[in-house]
Amino acid sequence: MARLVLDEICKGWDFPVLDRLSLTVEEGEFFVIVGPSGIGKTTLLRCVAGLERLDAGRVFIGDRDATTIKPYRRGVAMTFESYALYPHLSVYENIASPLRARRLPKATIDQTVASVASLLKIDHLLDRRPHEVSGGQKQRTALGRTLVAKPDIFLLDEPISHLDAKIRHELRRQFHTLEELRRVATLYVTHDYSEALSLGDRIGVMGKGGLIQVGSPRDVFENPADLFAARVLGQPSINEFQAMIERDANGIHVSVADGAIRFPPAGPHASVLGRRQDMGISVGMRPQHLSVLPEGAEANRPTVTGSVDVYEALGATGVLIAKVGDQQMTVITPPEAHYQTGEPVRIALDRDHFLYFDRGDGRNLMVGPH
Amino acid sequence: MARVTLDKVNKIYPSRHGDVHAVQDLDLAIEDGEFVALLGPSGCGKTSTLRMIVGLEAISGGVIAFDGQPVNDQTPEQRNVAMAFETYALYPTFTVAQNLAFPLEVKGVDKATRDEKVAEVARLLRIEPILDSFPRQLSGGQQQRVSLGRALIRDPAVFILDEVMSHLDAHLKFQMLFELKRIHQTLERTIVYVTHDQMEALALADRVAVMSDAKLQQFGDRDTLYDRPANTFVAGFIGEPPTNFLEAEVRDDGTTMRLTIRDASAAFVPDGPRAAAIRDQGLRTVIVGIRPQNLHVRHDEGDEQITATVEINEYQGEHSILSLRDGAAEFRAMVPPSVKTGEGETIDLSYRSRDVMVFHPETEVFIS
Amino acid sequence: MSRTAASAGQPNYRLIRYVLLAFLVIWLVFTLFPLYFAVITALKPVEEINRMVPTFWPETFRIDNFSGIFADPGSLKSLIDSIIIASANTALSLVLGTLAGYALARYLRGALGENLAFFILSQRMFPPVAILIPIFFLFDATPWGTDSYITLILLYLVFNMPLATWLMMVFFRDAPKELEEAAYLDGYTPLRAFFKVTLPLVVPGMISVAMLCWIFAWNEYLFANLLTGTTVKTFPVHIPTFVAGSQTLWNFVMAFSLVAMLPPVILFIILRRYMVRGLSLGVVKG
Repeated sequence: MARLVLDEICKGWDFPVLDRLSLTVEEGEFFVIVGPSGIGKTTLLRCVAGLERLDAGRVFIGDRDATTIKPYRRGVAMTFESYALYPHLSVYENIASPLRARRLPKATIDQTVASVASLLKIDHLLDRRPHEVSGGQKQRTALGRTLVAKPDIFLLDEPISHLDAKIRHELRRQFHTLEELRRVATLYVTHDYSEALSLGDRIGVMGKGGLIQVGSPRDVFENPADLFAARVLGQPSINEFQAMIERDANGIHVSVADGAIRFPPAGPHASVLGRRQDMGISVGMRPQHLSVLPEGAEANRPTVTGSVDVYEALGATGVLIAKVGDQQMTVITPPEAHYQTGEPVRIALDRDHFLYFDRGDGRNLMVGPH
Repeated sequence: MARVTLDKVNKIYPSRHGDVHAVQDLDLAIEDGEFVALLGPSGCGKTSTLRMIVGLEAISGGVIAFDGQPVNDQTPEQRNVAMAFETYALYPTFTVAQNLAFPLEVKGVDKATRDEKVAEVARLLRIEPILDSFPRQLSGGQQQRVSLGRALIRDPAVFILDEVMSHLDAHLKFQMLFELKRIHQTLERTIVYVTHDQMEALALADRVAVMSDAKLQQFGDRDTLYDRPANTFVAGFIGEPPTNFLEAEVRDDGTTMRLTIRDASAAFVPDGPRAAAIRDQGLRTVIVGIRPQNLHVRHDEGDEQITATVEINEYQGEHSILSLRDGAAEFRAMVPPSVKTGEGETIDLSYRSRDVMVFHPETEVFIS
Repeated sequence: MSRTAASAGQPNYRLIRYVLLAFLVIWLVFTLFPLYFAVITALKPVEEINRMVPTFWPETFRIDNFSGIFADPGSLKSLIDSIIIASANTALSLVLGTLAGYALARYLRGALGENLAFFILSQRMFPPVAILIPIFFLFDATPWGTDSYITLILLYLVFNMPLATWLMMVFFRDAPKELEEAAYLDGYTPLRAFFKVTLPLVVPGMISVAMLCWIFAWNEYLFANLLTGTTVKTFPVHIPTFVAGSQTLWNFVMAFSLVAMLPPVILFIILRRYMVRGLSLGVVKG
């Protein structure tokens, strides 16, 4: 058991994928990396596993410098996005594989496989071949294979993204409760932000080249470091508007699209924005911080008016895209409500939760030195 | 434009190990201009159904009719059905414009009309800037649009879309959902959309046909599926996180009925009509279904209440999911992200008695 | 670019199907007729064979043509010689081709690997007659001389190994690298991972390659005829010896040819099952 330290690792082909990425995952920590597909999350895991040779930088597992240690001697276990189960071997043999690699006695192997299989509820499938079991069961088999290895570091590559909602929630619960996973350093990558927020002790948002932001799930979601991190977390995506700061006798206003959306920012935001020289900013509004007001309702918040462009009733909520001026605004609506295209709507702005970004580099204006 | 009706449609694949009944007595009436989703887990028969509607698969029994005319013996071309595939299936050596024009060219449409139609479809799908690119130069989302465009351009009676979003990542998928909804609103064509993702189906379709085990489980709009699911399968398949199912014993003193969860202390109170239905059927035990969204931390007038211990509090940004335990019973609740009740603490949750769904203990059919 | 548009109206799928079927029938007649003629010839007496107007169904059946060929002691030995040479050569080709193919597939990707692989395959395109004389002198200089098993076993490697290497390379490229990597992470060294994981995945491919190599070595005539013939004599070399004076005994030639066809046919029937079963295993996910 050990912690994982990545020290300025670099890896690239025609272009840099990982550019001086540093990260420490403590023993017993569940660290989730979230980012859009194709950004290099899998490459990072492969570098840690030793399947890719680093261009520069070092990997430490515990006190050992593992940079040049071959994957089969690293003490690292990894699940692949494709599961990578051996098709010619049974579920039992797949799970037993790491134990057989160490030439352990058969009795020990039987016992370990049986206990892991019952833990993952696949003990009735041990004689089947991978192509004879369902997707969720394949994933459990792959997980079982990494669990029996008792590695120092767990690497999990999109383990549940491709499964049905029901199984996904069940496996998520398992990730929360599996002692074996919670005891060692685990690095988990996913493109699904809700998985990341739900599972990670800490999460890292990955962008081009490396990690944009690292922190607790709540902190990263509520205070994203920049526009990119704000976009990666949340669905439907955050509404982004190009805005201007306007000062007049009544104080400060944020104005979008020549005043189609105009409101005074919340107190703490106003003081930061007030000190700004550059009047052009981006404002980010998460859809759940916008709400459609019922007709005639009094609002204790600023409002804007628009009309319904598209409305989709999802299961637990509805999503409405409203046209406000020439801008589009995505709003989360309660399940009971229904809207017709073209219908006028009044939208209340929960401005306490709005985010403000620099138009140039996209950094969050409320984070760091002002 | 067409009305599509399926009447007792069956699909049987003969195999060495006995026949496989892939679709069983399927009745479905899709109205002209309606957007219908075929929803179900893999292997439920939705793909076989779709292939029979398109005409790629022989119909083993029953009748498929377009506007009342049986089409069982017609080729896909005669049926005038267009289809977009999960894998896009674009011709790699053609540009986007050539890909779009191809179905028309096959039909022998002249070049001027073709160009006009390509421009029209490109405008609708917002792919005008990429008309001269080749498929390999495009992103997944763009390829998907071109693939949709190639189906749209033929001006078919029915569009079939087969799992067209399953390769797109979440953000792109969300955009495409709205795009597709908008396209349907503009065109008002009959669309059959096949998917295993309940969110896509509910978001897009006017009505959703839920299939499982080769049979149609329920055909209805979002509110019907959500509030009055036909059985536990539909209730469990529609909605995320999935519905909580709990086995309960009926305790009835004639005026109030309590459904006591087995090996737990919690009891749910069903609303009047449901209690009456349970009494009528004389059930001693039932399956209680309650959606995680319908367990609230806020307490409104007239709500019922239960207490449970939090096992896991999963923060998800927009909300949190609590995994709860009460005795031997495990269930979930969806609460605002501000709820910070941690592991091992108890929490009071409210629900409206009309949100308590009740299912027959053996047949698992919804009791209304 | 001009692709002509189909004529107005619907294409007639049924007609197209019949036309395709007709082609199939013609093709079958073409390929099956020689076999049919070989079978009936093997069953005819000599007198009936030499008629100017051939009979298409034997007037008298002579089953003893088949036993007759084994009156010649060389017949059985030639079949055994062929089996020894074909099998030994196949085993060697397979071992060398599998290892070389794996190396090409995994370690020599890119331009160098492509070129090398193509160079290896091009060996097979070389006209064999061109090297006939040098080969003769070459083997004549070896301690075992030209007329021996080793000569043909080694010589056939020239033709079979490039094919085996190339095909095995293709099969190894198709075998997902991820499975091997998973095995490394399970703690297998590259050599053990190769035998535990990768090799089982290409077994169906290996069987097909073995079939091809074996059949080539089984049927080869030119080199066998020139290099061997006394101590070692493969069956293709033995066939022309069925002559009585100036007359070729076609009934014996055909009977013997049919017997010689049996080993590859039986081999194929046995191994076909494994080829098909193996193919369905070659998936990572599904």
